[in-house]
Amino acid sequence: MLDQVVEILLVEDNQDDEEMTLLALGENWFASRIDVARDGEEALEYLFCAGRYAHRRLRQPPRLILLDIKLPRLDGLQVLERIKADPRTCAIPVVILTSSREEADVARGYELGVNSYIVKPVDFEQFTESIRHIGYYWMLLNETPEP
Amino acid sequence: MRNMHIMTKMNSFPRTLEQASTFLEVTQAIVSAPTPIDLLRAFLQPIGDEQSSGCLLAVVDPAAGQHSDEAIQMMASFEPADSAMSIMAAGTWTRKGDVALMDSFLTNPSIVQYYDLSTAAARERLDPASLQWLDERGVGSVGVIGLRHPAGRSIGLAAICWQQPRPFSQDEYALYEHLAPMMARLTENFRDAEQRVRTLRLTEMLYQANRHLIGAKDYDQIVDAVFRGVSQSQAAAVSMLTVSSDDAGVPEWATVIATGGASANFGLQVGTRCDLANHPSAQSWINQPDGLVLVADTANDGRLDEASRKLLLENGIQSVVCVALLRPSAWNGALLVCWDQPHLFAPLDEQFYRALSGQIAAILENYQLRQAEQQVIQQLAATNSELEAFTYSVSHDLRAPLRAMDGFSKILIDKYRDQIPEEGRRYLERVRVNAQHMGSLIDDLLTLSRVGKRVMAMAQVDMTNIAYGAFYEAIIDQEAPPARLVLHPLPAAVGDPGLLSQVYVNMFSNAVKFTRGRPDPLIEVGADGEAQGLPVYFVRDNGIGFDMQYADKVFGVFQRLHDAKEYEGTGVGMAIVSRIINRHGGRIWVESAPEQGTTFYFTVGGGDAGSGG
Repeated sequence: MLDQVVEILLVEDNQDDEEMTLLALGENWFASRIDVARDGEEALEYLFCAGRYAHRRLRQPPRLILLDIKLPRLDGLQVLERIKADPRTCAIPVVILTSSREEADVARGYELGVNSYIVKPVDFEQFTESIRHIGYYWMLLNETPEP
Repeated sequence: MRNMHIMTKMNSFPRTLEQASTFLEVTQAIVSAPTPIDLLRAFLQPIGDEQSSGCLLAVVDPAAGQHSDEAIQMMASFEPADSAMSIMAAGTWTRKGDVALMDSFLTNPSIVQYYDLSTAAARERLDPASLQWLDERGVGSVGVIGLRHPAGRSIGLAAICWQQPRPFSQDEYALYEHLAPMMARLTENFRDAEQRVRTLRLTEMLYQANRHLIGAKDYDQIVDAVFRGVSQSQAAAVSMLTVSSDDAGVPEWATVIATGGASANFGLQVGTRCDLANHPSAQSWINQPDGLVLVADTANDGRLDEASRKLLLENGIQSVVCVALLRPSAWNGALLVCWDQPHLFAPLDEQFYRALSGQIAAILENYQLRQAEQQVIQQLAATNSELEAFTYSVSHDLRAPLRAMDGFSKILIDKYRDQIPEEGRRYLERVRVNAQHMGSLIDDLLTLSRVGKRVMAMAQVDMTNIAYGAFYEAIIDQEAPPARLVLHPLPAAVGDPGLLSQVYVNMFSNAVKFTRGRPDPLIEVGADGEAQGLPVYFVRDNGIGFDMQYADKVFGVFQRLHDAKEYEGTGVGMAIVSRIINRHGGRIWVESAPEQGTTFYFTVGGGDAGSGG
């Protein structure tokens, strides 16, 4: 199992959102494996194979990171900054998936090199639709360099 | 008896050819005198001889009694080179009561008066102060010619002092009685011209001070502005003091808070503090509303207490004006204008300093208002950043649970469709509708708060274009155009294009909503007439309209005039419109009637009318 390619890393502290995102992704079958990190620190440990994820192998980065902004400890924007600043992870597409419509957050996200910024709709049908678009675009249409 | 005597003399003037020629000669000389001193020399020339020891020309201030006690000015004076006497310097002002000599001469009805100070009779006619003044200067006899205007008012006097007795001859009496009225007029001319020059100079000083006071933003700038004005009167430094008072309102401490023109060895330095209990005169001056004291000579002014005198002299201040700046509830203080030399003050100076103090008081008032304003702004900024944190958290934290409510209801409906009875599914849909509605409420409230916070990007806006684009934005979700749009060309406006577009989007959404199901739904957009010089834009629909008694509710937050079931929406849309128009300094109003449609009118001002908030 460990060798299986992880396709999506979901960074999300809200279990409801997590479950709904997983449901939406599963319904549309874009990824055979989705891992979840529940805070910013865990996300970084996961990506850089440190701490709890020391056993992971770096040459298997996820193909897409879905990142919430408001996270315990390190927030999403800080995680984004680290991902984009490191040559090992900077090519991984990062989509911010958040409730925040704050212009400052959007601006900061793009400043740090986010690939997409999506505000999660309250309406579950619209939410599912958004996730479907994200999956379709980033997992099927988009090409990324080989890890 | 004496008057009778003069009358007879006057009738027989001139008695001789010689007298006539002297009269003409003097007349010519005084008429053409270019300065007061020339005037005085020419006037006294017939009786001035090697024995005469000093001459003076003094005038009464026309404004005397109104503004000042210092009513008599020495206009010109001279002494022969070998004289041992010293007359008051020209320009000196003296209090009417201080030199009774002047007073007694001025009030004496005789035109020509002669006093031989070696005779007891003459000495008896003089008051002790005048006698002392004359004796101190070694005067043996004095001749005084009263200068009276033909209309009767006293202009001043010319006096000549001799070391020895030198009585007037009958011819000299007659000559001066005839010369005096003309001399009075000429002296008055000089006096008035001098007054005008002084007034002009003070006006110029006041103008200079005001010009700089207007922009003054703090105590330093106020002091600097005053200094620019008064430096024309050779003032060397200006200091401003604050005064703290005890509970009973008695001034306790004075502290120099700003100073202009002071140097290391002159003037009061910022931070200088004195306990006013030790400076009783300063304490009483500062405590008077409109208190104004002019100290012409620090070393010799009897009104100064010793501690104050010492403090001033130690700092090189030889003369000073103290202007009390008394602000009943807010601020007590004083302004000091200091000279490094004794200074001659004229009565007009007092008016100048009073005017100046009025200006400073006004500026201080403004300054304090500004400070209070600044405080409010800071508080608002703090509240605002709290609010911002609040809306941020609303935006993020309130939406997540709603999404879960909506999401899991939907999942429940989809996954367990067979196990839930029809009614249960309907209830779940109700949960979803409400969750979604609350989501819209939150979104609209956030938009409303963003409209207030947003920094406006002002530009010339093509309103026709904006309205056209907004219409399609408003109906983007509709499958077919829900209403006909009639768009008349609109005049351009100056404003934030994004916000103005939002105005039309919200108005169109509104119009579309309330024309739904009506025959031939129509939305008309145009501009008609002017209000306060600005074009009036309108958006008219032929929808269901409303009763004008509810017109004030249209622009309120969460205010709805129609059934929420029939007409969806959060009730924030027109509040957003109203706030945008407000921020543009414009006005918005509405006209409507049930079943008659609704017309919104608005103007767009050119600027940011407020911070919104």
